[in-house]
Amino acid sequence: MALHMLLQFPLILLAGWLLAKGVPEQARSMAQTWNHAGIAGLLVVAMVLIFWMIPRALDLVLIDRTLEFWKFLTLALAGAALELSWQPAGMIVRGFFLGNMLPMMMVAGWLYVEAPVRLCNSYLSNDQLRTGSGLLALAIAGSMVWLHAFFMPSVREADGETL
Amino acid sequence: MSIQKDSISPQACGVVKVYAAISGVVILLMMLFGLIMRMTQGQILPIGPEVFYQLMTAHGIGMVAIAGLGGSAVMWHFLGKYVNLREGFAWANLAFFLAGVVFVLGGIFLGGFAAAWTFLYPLPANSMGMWGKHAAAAYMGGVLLVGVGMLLFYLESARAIIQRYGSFAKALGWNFLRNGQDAPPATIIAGTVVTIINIIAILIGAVILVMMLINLYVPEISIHPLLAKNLIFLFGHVFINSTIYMAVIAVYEILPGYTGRPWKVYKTFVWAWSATCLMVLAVYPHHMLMDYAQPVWMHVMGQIISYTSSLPVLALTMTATLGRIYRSNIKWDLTAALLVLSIFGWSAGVIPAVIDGTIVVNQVMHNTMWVPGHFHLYLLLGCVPMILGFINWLSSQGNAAGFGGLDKTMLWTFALSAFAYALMFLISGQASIPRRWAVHLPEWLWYSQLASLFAAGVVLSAMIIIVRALGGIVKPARLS
Amino acid sequence: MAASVILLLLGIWAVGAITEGFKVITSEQARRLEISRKQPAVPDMRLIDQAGQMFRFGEWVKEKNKFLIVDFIYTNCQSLCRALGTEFQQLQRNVVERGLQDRVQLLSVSFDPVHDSHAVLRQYADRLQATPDIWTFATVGKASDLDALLRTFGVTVIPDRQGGFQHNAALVWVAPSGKLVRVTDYDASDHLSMLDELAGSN
Repeated sequence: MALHMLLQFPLILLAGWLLAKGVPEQARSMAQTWNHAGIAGLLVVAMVLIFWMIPRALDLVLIDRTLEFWKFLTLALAGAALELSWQPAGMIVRGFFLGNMLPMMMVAGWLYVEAPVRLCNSYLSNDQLRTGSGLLALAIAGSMVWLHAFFMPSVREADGETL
Repeated sequence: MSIQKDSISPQACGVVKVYAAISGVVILLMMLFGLIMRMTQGQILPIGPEVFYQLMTAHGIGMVAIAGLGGSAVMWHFLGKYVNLREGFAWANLAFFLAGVVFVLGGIFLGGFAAAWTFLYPLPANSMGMWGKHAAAAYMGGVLLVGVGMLLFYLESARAIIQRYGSFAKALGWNFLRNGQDAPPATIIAGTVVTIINIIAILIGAVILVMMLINLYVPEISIHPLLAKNLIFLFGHVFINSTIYMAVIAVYEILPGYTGRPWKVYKTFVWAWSATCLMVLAVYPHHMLMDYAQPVWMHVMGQIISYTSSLPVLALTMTATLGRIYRSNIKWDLTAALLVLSIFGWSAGVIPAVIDGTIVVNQVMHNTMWVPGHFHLYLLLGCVPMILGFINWLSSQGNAAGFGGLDKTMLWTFALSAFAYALMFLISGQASIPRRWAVHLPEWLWYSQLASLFAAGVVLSAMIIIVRALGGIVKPARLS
Repeated sequence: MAASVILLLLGIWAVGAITEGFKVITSEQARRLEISRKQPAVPDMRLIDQAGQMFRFGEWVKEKNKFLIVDFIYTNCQSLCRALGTEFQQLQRNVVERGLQDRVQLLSVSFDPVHDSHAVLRQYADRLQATPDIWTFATVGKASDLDALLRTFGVTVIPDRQGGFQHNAALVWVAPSGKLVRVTDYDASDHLSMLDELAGSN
């Protein structure tokens, strides 16, 4: 479970991200017409990540082949959407995205650590504990990096009207 | 959507006026709730305990929220002098705020939710039949909505500050500490500190609120109660502290206009605010000194930091305020008087806070009226006069108005009855009267009855101050 | 803007689907919801009880014509099954106290047929002081039947790498008609009131 969420998921996301790197400039600017300020793209990322943090989804994907296919597809898509949206997104959209995702990850991590019952029937409870701690650590580390970024000299001082 | 940078518009923008007007009206309503509660405890009003606890919950969350909104109005207005803020975000914040309020009020008065504004785990889920799951969910969901709006608000402030100053490090004045040049204005320093601590507080609040919402519907997933309490207090205590740090900007910006002496930023001022930024996040454990399961180091930290946290900024603000006024030929009017009163109230509030922050005292005092005494001094005599001063200043278009007889009477009525009202809490606490009790013993009644008298004085004077100020705010808007 | 709204709705739909309309977040909850909704019948497979007797599960339930309370265990278990055993002991005592012997039957099914032969089960039953008329212990006759049985009851069993198993523990209530009607936690507080209800409808 820990490997599933904390290794496989990020790897699929990364694969999506790298695939999107290859998107030509033309297609990229076309994508911007429906992805204003990266809002739609980051929304996709948020939705996909929230879905795969639900314990039942994590359980069901082990016995349901179709769902497994969707897992790879949506996570790769989310990775690509992240790559395509992070640059166009301004401080506020990024902040709002992180401000929702980091607490959500902390909640999921906390759920896995605290729940006296096993949330996923298909995983051992110490595995669940490991996953929870991992999610918590990831979310806290993410928050630290984000906070730190506020104190670093900004490289995009010029653009005033970004979201 | 953007305001011209560096343009000091005497005319406040529409959203600030709306914020100020809502704050004025709600503050008055909350004061009325307070009066009703004290009269109930004094057995002057025949109100049942269920309604009392609903009122207590509404009074608590209402005051926290409206102090936040009023403080935001001050911060937004004066921050806009230095950085390019976009009004759309202030409106969005207001929309989320009002939507949240609808849910919170529905949860309380329709659903009967009465677990106090701190919604301490596991009380919201264990109502013993007094309220349903959905009422608790409406309350917590409403608070979450308000938080979403505020997050947008502070993200916009953060963006604007960084756009202008490059980074929070510069906006906090750390460059100025090194090379003694380019000191940011006091407003920017305070605004940055509030932005940082409130983004952190809101995110932590979101974690515990979502967690408790899940627990509400999936009771098998229980939460570590002590951790839950820590998170709730971290969120709530930082947020309510930040309201004063936002509202005090009114003192920094408005008072110099009366005294003719600008508010200069010194290195100690920068140090004090940076220290506050850290300490305000670590001071909340002084509200948990009675939780014996809490690790001892947190108790010790709570005690030490409650001694040190409020002092730097407060001491500097107080001495600087006195320095501004002393032999300055200040032209007194209601605004100036309210702002000076607020500094007095804020300072006075530190004394009971420090006493309560001492572990040995806390263990006998914390569940008494002493604690409401401590925060009513801070808020009723500190934060509220800052906001009222700002509203009054808005309504007089930033010009010093005369200080008429009615103004003077109302100011003194407000100051004296608010002080006496807070003092009654402290005296009741000293007499070991518990807080949060709807029904009091016969020998306690006179405390509440006397307090009700002072509360009536506060409501009356505040009403006249607010109604007159609102008249000034609404009228020009209608003309233009 | 439009794209965002469509995506948002799509996301809400997906989350709604996986949570059965925002009702469940775990498989365990989903399983309970499904059982109480669909009320599947017990599978009619061969079981062996602690006396070594073969019987067909489905027929046996109908023959008994009693309310059946089922849990799933293995005898080497050190944790959850002990709690289940204690709960069943109390239920057994309460069944006797209320005179419900003709209306309620307890059944503990082992999902470890390799180790838990009928002799092992009998020892285990003796240790728990089970009264054979009220509390039956059994396991599957053919190991290959185990999967189907566990699936019907929604029980997931995984080896814990220390020779034991981790499994979800719950009490499944089966009506005399042979249909699964309810799943409750082993530490739920309402078991006695459910027995009272049965006694009251006598």
